[in-house]
This record gives sequence, structure tokens and C-alpha cells, in this order.
Amino acid sequence: MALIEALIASAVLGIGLVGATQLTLKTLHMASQSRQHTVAQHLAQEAMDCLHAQALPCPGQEAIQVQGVRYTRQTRSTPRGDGLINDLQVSVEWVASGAGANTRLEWHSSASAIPLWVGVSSP
Amino acid sequence: MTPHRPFRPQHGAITLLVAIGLVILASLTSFYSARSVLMDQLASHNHAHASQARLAADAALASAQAWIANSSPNANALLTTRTDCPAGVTGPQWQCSAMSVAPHPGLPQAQLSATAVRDLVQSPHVWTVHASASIAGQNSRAQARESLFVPFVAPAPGLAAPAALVLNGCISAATGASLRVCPLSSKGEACTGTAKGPAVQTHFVVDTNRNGSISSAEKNACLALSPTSLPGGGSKTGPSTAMQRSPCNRAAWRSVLGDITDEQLQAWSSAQERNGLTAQTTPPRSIYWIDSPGDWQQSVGTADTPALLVFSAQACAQRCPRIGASVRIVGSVLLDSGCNDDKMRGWQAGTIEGQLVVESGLPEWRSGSMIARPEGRNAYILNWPEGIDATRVQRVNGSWSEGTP
Repeated sequence: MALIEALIASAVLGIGLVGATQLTLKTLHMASQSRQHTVAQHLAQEAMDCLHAQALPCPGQEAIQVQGVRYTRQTRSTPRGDGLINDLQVSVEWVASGAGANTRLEWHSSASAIPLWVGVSSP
Repeated sequence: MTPHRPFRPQHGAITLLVAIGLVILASLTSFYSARSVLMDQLASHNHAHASQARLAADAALASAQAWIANSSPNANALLTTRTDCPAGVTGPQWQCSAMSVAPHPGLPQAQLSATAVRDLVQSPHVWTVHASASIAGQNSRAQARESLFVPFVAPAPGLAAPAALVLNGCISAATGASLRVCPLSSKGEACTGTAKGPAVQTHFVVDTNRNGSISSAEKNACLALSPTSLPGGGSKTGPSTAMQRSPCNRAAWRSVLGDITDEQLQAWSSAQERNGLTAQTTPPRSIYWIDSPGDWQQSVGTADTPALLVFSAQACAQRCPRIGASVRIVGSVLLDSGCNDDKMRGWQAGTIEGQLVVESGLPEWRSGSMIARPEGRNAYILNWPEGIDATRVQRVNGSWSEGTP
């Protein structure tokens, strides 16, 4: 009798722990993906800020390693409408952990090319 | 006899309960950690959507600004489509117009819009563009705004001590005339104290002896105002060399308005009128471009919001309109009499506290009080930053902001 009880308890425990482990593994995977996505967003935002500032030369393409993941960031600024507007594009590409496939994030915006009055007075 | 052991089955139940408890504990731990990660993921996606909406709003802002810059110097034509003003912008002085925003090639799912806002009384040359963007399917929306200097009205020249009366010709009083011309005074009181500037300034004096220079006698004969007409003193100034005024050189206009053109003032006046500004609104209307030849009977302008009245060449086609004897105008009055003295012959006015500018002489002037005021030119003097090229559209440094105002 004791053996049967022990076997049933072990089976319940085993099944439960397998389920919990699966869920934990899935959670870890999601957390990893989420972190990579957040890092990619920060990298894209950083590049977009650089393009918007129009003051510093922004690197066209660069590879960045963050927490063991290699991100490839590309920036592009294309003039439009008589050169009064610059279309901005930033893409960040990385290999998602576990999936093995490339993941890509692409952001678009525009910046005005109208000169900025930098005098001391303001209206 | 074998003793009864009733606790044996309870051992199994306890073991099972402990196992189930452990499984529940492990499941709950996994569930809550999964939920926490899921929340993080949702927050991250939300942040990404918000960033994309903000970038789309920046794209809309840049597009609207480019449209304005492309349309300059006829940018006024853009402000014809009236729209609701953004929250917090209320009052008849605010003109709000919908702008055209070109779709962004990389953001086909974004809905972009923009509104240009300007204060038609204080700063019609500063347009604030409010842009907004929403991205379909993401439930995200963002706003951005930035101000531009737009060449709407040219800067007026700064004058240290503007004269009460500026002419492009000679002046004479009619028989029995009731005239008063008072310059700026050092104490700021009207027609008393020490004069701080000229009472009368002319840009054309007849060179009677044709020697090429203007003598004091010629100047005094040209500006023939009696001392009783000048109770506050002040000088009468004019050119020292003989000048031509035909074809009309608009010297009086240019001396006070600089490069401000008829079209600019006309557009400004029309915009104020269309926006519902009148002498009774708060703030009151400040620019009046008058094409009607009828006499003017309305008091306008206050010390805080002086007015500019321009009687155009069309209004002065036959003779320039008179101003009612009881009318009080605080600000500037310009009469475009086109260097034709006859259009101003026998002219009459009420009280002008500021400056009177006449593009001709004032022969046989009958009545009027001209009292110079420091704020007399403020209606058309816009606050352009020093050193700015006022012929180009430029963004105002530090004016960019995002979110609701």
C-alpha cells in the first residue's frame, strides 16, 4: 500500500513539476525576447535622436554587442521635398535567442531641414 | 491479536497532500513569473508604439513646416482653412488653420495632421505648428509642436524719438484752424515739459530759390505752424538738401514702416477682420487697412493695444478721408496721399495719440491734435530677434515640445 501511495504522490509531483518547468522555460524565453526587444528599441531611439539632432555625424551601420547578443544598426537620412525635409530610417537587426532567426525592428520619421534661429532673443 | 493501526492510510494522504501542495506552489510561482514577464512584454510593446507615434508626429511636424517654407513669402494663403484651436488656445486673436500634411512613405498606417496657430495681434510672424499622429491598429497617439518665424510683416525701423507728425511735403494752417502738435516729452506728459523729439518732420521741402540746399527760412516757410499749435515745443525737422518727390518716393512711409509693404498690412488687416477682431473685442483689433473713401468716425486703440490705421491710395483716390472731431485714436495713422498735397487740403481730424504720417503736405489744415506717445508705433512693431534675417522661414530655437500643451 505504501509503495502505491508513494508512486501516486511521485506521479502527481512529477507531472506538476514538468508543467511548472515548461512554463518557467517559456517565461525565460519570453523574458529574453522582451529584453532583446527593449535593447533594440533603445538602440533605435538613440540612432533616431542622433539623426534628429542633425549636429553629429551618425554612423550609417554598426554592430553592437549587448549581453551576448549582436545587434546590427543601420541609419539612413533621405532628403525629400526640395530638401526642406529629411526622411529618417533606423533599423536594428539581431538573432533572437532560441529561435535562431533574424529579428528586425524598423522605425521611420522625418526631420525638418528648415534652418534654426539660434539667436539669444525669442518672441 | 494484531493491533489496529488506523494511521497507515493517513500517511499516504499526507504524502499526496504534500505533493499536491508542492505542485500548486511551483505552478503559482511559474504563473506569477510568467504574468510578470508578460506585463513587461506588453509595457515594452506599448513603449514601442508610443515611440513610433511620436516619431510619426515629428514627421507630420516636419511635413507641415516644409509646406509653410515652400509657400513663403505667400504663406498667408495657407491660413485659409479655419479649424478648431488646440486646447488652451482661446480668444479672437488666435488664428488656427489646418495644414496639409503629406503622407510619409515609411509610415503608411499613420494618420498625420497639423494645425498652424498664431497670435494675430502680438506676433503674427510666429506660427506654432501643432502636429499629431495616430497609428491605426496600435491605439497610440502623439503630439509635437514647434514655432517658426515666418516673413509675414517686415521689421519696422527703430526710431529713438519719433515725431508726432511725419510728412512728405509742407504744412499750412487754415484760417481759424484749431491745431495741436505735441512731441514726446521727457516726463511723458502730453504737451508739457521738455520736448524729447521733433514735433514735425518732413521729407520734402520746396527749394524756392532752387540752389539745391534747404535753408532754415525755407524749412520754416514749409512747416508753417504757429507756436500756439506747438504747445509742447519740439523741433521742426526736414532735409537740408533739395530732393525730388515725383514720382512719389513714399519717403514718409518708408521712414516709419521701413520695408513693410501695402500687401503685408492689407493681409494682416484682413486676417484680423476675418478672425472676428473688432475695436470691442479683448484684445481689440490693431490693424485697419481702409480702402473706403468715407470719413472715419470710430475711436480705436488703447495704450495697451495701440492701433494702426492706414488710409490706402484707394481711399485717398479723390481726397483722403477725414477723421471725426470727437474721434480718439491711440496708435498711428497713415494717409497714402501719394505726394499729392491737394488730397489733404483742408484736412480735419480728432485726437491722435501716437503718430500721424502723411505721404504729402498738409495744406490748409483745419483741425486736429497730434500727441506723440512712446507706444504709438507698437501696433506694427513686431518682436523680431535682433540680427535675424526676417525674409526667411526659420524655426524658433527651443520651441519644440511634445505631448498636450
